[in-house]
Amino acid sequence: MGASGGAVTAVPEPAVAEGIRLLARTVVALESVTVKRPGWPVAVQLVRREGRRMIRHPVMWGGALLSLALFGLFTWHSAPVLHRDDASVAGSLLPLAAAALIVANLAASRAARNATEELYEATSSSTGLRTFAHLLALGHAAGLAVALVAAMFAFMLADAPVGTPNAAEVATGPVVVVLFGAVGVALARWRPHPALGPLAVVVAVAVQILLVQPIVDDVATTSTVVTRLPWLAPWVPLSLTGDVPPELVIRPAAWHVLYLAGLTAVVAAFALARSGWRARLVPVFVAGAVAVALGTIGQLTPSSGSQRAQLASLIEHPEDHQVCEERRGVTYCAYPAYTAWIDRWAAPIEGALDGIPAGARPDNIVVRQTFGSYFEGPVDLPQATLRRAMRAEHRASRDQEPGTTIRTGTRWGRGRTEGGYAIGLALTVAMEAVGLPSSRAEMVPTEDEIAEFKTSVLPTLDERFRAKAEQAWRPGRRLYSCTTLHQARAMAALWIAGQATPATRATVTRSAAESSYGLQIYDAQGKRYAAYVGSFMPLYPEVPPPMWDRVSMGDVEFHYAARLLSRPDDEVGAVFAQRWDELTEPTTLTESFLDDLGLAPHVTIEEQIARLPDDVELERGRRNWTPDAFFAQTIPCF
Amino acid sequence: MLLIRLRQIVDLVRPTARAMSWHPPVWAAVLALGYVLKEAPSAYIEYRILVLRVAALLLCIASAFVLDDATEETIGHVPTPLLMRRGLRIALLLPLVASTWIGVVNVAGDVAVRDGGPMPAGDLTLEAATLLAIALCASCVGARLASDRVGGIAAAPIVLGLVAVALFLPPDQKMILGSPSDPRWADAHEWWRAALVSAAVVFLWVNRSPGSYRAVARRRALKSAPRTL
Repeated sequence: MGASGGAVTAVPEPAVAEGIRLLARTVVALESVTVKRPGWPVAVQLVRREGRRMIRHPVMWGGALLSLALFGLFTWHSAPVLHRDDASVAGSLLPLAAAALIVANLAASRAARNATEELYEATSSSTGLRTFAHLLALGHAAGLAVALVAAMFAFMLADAPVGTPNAAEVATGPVVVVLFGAVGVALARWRPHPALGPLAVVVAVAVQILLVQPIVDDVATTSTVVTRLPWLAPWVPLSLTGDVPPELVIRPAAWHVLYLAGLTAVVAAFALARSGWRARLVPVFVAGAVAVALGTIGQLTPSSGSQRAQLASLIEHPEDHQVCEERRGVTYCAYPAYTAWIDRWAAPIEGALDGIPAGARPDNIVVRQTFGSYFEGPVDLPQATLRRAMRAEHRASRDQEPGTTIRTGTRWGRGRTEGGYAIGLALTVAMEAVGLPSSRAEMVPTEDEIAEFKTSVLPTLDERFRAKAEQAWRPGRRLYSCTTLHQARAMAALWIAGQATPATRATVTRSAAESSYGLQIYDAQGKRYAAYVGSFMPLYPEVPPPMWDRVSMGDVEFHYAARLLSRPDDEVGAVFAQRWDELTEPTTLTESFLDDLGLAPHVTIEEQIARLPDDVELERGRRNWTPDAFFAQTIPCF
Repeated sequence: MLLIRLRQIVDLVRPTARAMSWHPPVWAAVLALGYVLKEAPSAYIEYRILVLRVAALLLCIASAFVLDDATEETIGHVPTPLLMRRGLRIALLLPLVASTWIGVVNVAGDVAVRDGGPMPAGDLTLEAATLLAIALCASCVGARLASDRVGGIAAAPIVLGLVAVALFLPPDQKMILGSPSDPRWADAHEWWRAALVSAAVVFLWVNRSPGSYRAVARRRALKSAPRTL
């Protein structure tokens, strides 16, 4: 049948038969032709195209932004330590890895979702080649991950970091991104559904939590923390339960990268197997499986005795490992990786020394870096070493000769938190200068001090408490704790520490503003309440001075010191220098210095109660409404 | 009118149930039950809450795909409002999600007061309901953006992103996904309640019938039309 000029005309039958024969011969001839599909050139083009689409996808950008946010959360408040923060950098890339999984899954399932698989078969790429290209396109995601890692390290390098990053830790992040992307491609090939990508992300989060989360509830002690098989998770944090020094944890990071790379190869082979390249995939699968097995064995093999002994030596014999440096009569001893932090430690100490009259400056100060003896998470130290370290620290706090050994740790603040670390060091120097106890050995009163106490302090104490205080104050008997309330020297020490550096000044000022002297007003259930929460100083330094738990400083002196920071340092320093001997006497009252310093007394709590607005209620059940009542059970420091 | 709508709903129940993509919520229900069964019993309270939250996230993300309807454009002209069609899908989904949630909460069990209990099952259910409402809203909004009106593709990453943002807040501001020992727990759940109401309002807004916004547009056009004498 044919059409010509709108009229239907009959075609002769022999012509139709000839046409059919010709068509049949053509089909037979075409079947015998072997069409070789171009391989690599097509794959390269697909990789370029898919890779670009992948890194331009909004989900990838969201993942990248969340990765940067997570990095900020991990590192924002700490001065950079590259051999600790390398693990945080790897962990920060987990949101990007999740995004890579979703985007790779969507890309690889695109043809199935749009029902264009058959259409694509007419092109010069096979399904296998397209899968292969999707897998290779993950290189773009890896490139984005490397760019983010570079940006994170550039951020840390701009802030005078210490330490050296571990290359295997750094590589973990990009490898996890590729692994997650490969999982997305494999899922798309075996079960193309757009829900599977996001569900796989949640499952990956669940697996990560399952493997890493401690499974006992009393996680605060080092001995009872039990995790399952954390190193089988994509990322293992330095510690989940708190801060631990990175030097005391042996991390099989290189084995972990091998494990992840092997896993990636296995998943990629699994994705390609759907497309029929099975024979060619056997070596890839076997190599991946071997890498997974080797990596797993390497990760799960416990650290050797010699490795643990080396760590024990770090904590038990720090002098064998540390580098010491003297500046302005102060000796600083730091582990080699941290020597650049001596500048950070020296600033508040020298600032505090400058605020003390020349003749009263403590000498022979030693600042020693320590790992401490209590760790908030598991460390790779023998239990015997931990016990010895705890005993040594206990002995040091009890029996140490009054002296000026200042201990500082492996963490230092950054930005807003730096002042919290700096003021701890500055306050140690200041407390030593004004004669506040720096060890429990100093809390044993002498005969003269007891006589002084009986004449000047005892009569001022509450009647109920007087007998108890008399009993506690005996020659040779060590006091448990004391308070500096109303002692002028406490105000001087806090001012000396506060003026030491701009960071300490900002910290004291901010803390005083956030928690003003006396009543605190708060909202609860639609009402406003006022309460006096106690006379403890509202600032707790990140590096507390020695005896911080025994020497209770009050909010009275803290708020006077904070107010002094707004006055010229020279004037305040001159008043303290002029009356230094009187100032350092435990019996000298804060109030006796107010006129010379030009300070008005604090508004008393009673006056504050009287001035409360009508809509503010006093919190019921509080009895200790004055600083004196609050410290009525604590003996004054001497 | 109400009677007509009821008759329409009755007529639509079976075809809608057949047309819905049941795979994601069923996969999620199985995964959530398995995960909670494996992890929650005998764990400490904070970990049980974490496990339940992960289970809720699985269910909510999967639920977002239930609203995917590739024929939405094609049947846009039929006299069954969008809100009714989507509402019907949600109504069909809810028994599965609710029974799974009740199941996982029961499997997780309660915790003695001395161990930090009791489990705040009501508050966690509020969190799960809010997350579900947000996921469904995101799916409806995503349907306007994604090809073939399959909003689940956009909704799942949005929900994951929101949860990640809530988790990555600084510790002093991280109250939305806190623990019952946090004094801000009650305030946080006021926030969850407000978010649930907001999500419900947004859901109604994005699912209003195309005719209604055409009417608004027509009124606007008339109002701003220049009058010629």
